[in-house]
Amino acid sequence: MAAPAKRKPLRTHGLLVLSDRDFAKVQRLSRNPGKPNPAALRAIAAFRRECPASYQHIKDESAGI
Amino acid sequence: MAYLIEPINPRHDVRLFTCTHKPLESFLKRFALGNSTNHLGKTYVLTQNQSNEVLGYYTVSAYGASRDSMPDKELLPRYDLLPALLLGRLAVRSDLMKRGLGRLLMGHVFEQAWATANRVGVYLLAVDAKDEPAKEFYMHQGFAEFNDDPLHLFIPMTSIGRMVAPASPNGNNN
Repeated sequence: MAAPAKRKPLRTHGLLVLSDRDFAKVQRLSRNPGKPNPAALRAIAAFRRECPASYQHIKDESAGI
Repeated sequence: MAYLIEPINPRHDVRLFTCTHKPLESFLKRFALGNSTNHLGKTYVLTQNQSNEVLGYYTVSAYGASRDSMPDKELLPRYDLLPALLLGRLAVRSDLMKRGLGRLLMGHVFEQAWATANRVGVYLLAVDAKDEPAKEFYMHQGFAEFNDDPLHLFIPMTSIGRMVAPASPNGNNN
């Protein structure tokens, strides 16, 4: 009698248990969300430049200050 | 003179705020402060330093995006609802349009969304564009359409992270 095929271990993404194929897709989507949008980059740069106190506030909050 | 974007408070002067889209004007004048106080939606206002006069604003709240409404849903985590933020409104005073103030507000939206996503799970930022010109504005900023409504748009948090914090491959440098 042939030995039963060995099952491949399931991969996890957060709390999800995914097949190898789905795991690869999610990883690809997460790692490669596309080229940064130039207009959005300009918006972020303009905000940082023209609203320095507000930008500093967000940075301080993120750092737990 | 530098600008300031901060949560709305009773000292902010909204009396002179006019908007071509009247519901956006009346929301700011009648509901924005109360909704912020009651945690229905947080409104952030744009002022110039040393002034309390509101030049523009946006409102953001928690949201759950239906996985079924998203394109390429087979690529997404298998939750019925994906944790999200909803950009409910964004407006600039009508006499100050075309001066880049909406861009400043969008920059703050992206920064704030990313900061929030590093504290609680937020998979995407959604917005309901009020009309086609508004949709163009958001699409120009990298938003894409949900499947359910052509004016219902989103941008993945991974895309925001890559722009706000490009230091690591996932945009997460915290």
